Amino acid sequence: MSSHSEPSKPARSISPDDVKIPAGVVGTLGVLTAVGVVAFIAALTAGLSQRVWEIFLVNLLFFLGVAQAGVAASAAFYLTQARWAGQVQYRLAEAFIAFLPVGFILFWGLYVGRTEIFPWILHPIANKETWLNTPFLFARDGLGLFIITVLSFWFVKASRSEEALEWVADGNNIKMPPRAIRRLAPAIGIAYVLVYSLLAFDLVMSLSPLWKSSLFGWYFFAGAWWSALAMMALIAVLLGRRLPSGNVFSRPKVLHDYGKLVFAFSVFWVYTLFAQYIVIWYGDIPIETFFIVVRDHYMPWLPLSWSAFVLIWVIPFTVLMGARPKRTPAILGTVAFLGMIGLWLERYVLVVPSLSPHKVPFGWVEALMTLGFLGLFGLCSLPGMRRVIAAASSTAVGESE
Amino acid sequence: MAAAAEPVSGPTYADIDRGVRKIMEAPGFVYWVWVGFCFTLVAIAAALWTRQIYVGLGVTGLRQGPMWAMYITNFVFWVGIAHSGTLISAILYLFRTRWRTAVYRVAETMTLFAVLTAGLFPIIHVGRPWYAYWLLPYPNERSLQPDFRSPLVWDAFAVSTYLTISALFLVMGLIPDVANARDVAKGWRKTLYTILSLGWRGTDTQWQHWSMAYLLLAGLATPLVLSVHSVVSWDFAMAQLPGWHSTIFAPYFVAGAIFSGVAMVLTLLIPMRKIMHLEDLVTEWHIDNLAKVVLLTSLIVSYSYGVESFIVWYGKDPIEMMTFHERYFGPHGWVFWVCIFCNCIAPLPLFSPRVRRNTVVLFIITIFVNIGMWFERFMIIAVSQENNFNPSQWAIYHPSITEIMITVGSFAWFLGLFSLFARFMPIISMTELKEGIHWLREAVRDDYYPGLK
Repeated sequence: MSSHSEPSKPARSISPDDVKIPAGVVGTLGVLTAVGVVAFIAALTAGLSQRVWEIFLVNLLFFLGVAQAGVAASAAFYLTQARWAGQVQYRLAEAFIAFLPVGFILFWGLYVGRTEIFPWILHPIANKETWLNTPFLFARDGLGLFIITVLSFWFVKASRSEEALEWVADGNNIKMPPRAIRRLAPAIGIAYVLVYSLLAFDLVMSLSPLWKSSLFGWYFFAGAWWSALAMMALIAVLLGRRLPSGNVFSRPKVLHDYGKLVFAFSVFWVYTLFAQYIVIWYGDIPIETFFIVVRDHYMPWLPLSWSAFVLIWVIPFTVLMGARPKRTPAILGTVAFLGMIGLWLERYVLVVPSLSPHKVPFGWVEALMTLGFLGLFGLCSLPGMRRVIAAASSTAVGESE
Repeated sequence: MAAAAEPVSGPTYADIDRGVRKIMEAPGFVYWVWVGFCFTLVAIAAALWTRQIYVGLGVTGLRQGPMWAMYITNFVFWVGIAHSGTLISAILYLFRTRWRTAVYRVAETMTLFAVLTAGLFPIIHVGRPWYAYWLLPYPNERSLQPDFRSPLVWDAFAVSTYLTISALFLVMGLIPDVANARDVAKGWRKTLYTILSLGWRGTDTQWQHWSMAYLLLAGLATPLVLSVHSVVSWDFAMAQLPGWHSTIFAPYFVAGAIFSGVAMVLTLLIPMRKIMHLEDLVTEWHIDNLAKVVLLTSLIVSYSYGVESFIVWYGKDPIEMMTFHERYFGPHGWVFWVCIFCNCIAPLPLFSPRVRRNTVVLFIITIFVNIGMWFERFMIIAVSQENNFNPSQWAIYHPSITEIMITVGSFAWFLGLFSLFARFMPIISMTELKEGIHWLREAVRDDYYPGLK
């Protein structure tokens, strides 16, 4: 990916501006975005607006989740004083931040398609109008997203400051991060938990307005968090091969640490899934069970739900159990890649069956719009990736052993 | 290591040995008065329990309405207290957390005694304690097995596994330290330490096996941190009773358990550090980090309170709404507000590093947390049963003196056992403090907080 081919030297330092992303990559991402936009317009003109807004919501939740959970992961690294990959782990976690304002703008697209996705607008639920009404929903979610986006940029600015870089450079001490980080990192954590719980309740749970599960918000942001970790592991593997030898991602120890995170939080995800499942299954109250039954007991959704379960938990848990698979780039990369697909599928299965319980609407609209989101997410990540590549290729930054 | 070139300042290996061995010297009169006091309370509780067995459960406040009340509250509370030990010794070990060294033995010891305390309560609670073994799968000629669909049986498995693993963990971790104590001990202590150190000589192979065993135990114990209190929470959440049936219960109980457990570690550690003059081994850095865990888990508990109430309001189920209305404003409403104050508001000052490092204020906060978490268990377990689906069963629970004294006795039992252990066993890990002496010296130097004076 980088055009640098100089031999590895002990004190190599590269600036993000020197990193050249190949034109092919930029071009492909641009084309994908354009395809998505064209498909979006074509599908709307063809009268497929329900499918358009469904898949729009699925992709928004998925990609916004990766970008925001990445920033939250960076905050968590600071709070736990983690410096196992030096500067690189912070740059990688924050790499997708530019998607946050884009996601914030796209969120307002839901306002246009609101009647297609929120069943309670056309068929209001008695007693629930105080919470489930259009102005209040968009006001609270919009405000939440706005606050967390601003906080994230503020935090990442502090994270890229000289002081923070200095702190990250030497991991062999018990020093606390600089004061600005100490203030902002907890704020990011709290905002992430609150805003993403709110999004889970409003943008996913309310699509089946009679259903409720108090753990659902937690489950939702645990999934987003895991997708950010899997994304980091995937990029670490991809870059480890392409960057000059001696780069941070080529070290088995660093991959091992990413692998541990992917393993551990896959287990945590399934824990939050199971904790809901068993309570609902055992209680056997129809108003709680219908949400699950439609997804994992009956066709056509059954295979999709179980595939997500296999991709997010069964495979990472069984494959990454040992140390060696975590340190082997091909294995870690494959598991992370399949996991990303699994989590996308999971978001799809959370959203769509509420609106289309008997049919899986998947065709050109869904495929092309998803590619469009992927392209847009990729384009937004490019500035961040420049920093990642620069940091990963620079060996001047010391890491703790 | 860059620090190797600097002149050594701060504690040395010898200081660590001296500090820990001093705690293990023959204790004085005041100590025995304290231990005697604790076990007197235990004796009173035991006498009352004997009476309860003889007379029947009528001596308790268990009547119509809440049939699970103070005893089950104590069970859940003490299992919760046990959680910090495994968190600190297993999860934080796997995370390579540097500050766990000075505090993990205290937490593990507390874990073991807390589980032992908790395990008493299901037995105290049943009418015929001599049939307590019915909970376990036991061989019998009719191949009768316990009902595996009952969460109470899951509990028996979860808690006994937890007891086994945490006991193993404690004993394993003790080996090198007990061997250290053995080499200077005399009399019966020497015999005891010789047996417990399992022939430890500190050879290379022994260290290798020991480290590997420790790592594996940590890996095995990590899921237990989450699973045990999840299973305990399902004793309640499996039922359809409003106030019990909620999907958030498992992680909410786990967070609460770690919250109360770490607060209890601090409650024990702060006075111990002061009385034994351990300021250079258990530094403000260790205390500060424990306080952060308290703050984090307090926020999670607050989140759970908030979401639980929100979902009830959102769901608009009339019976659930009524239960929660009674929880906030009913005859036992004050319990809820005690929980809110102690668990959500009192820990908030811990956002400030100055508060976290001020042991007096911190000690007071942890006392609030202990109180708040006990009442949280009480609120969930007893108060939820005061109003159920059938109004003719509504009743207010009033604990009897038997239940109150047995509860007091459980605290005394726990504190007495802990006090005995703390003076006769190495309550601080010399081995791990030495391994991390680099961090300890930095902590004593106290210059790790940029911009804080």
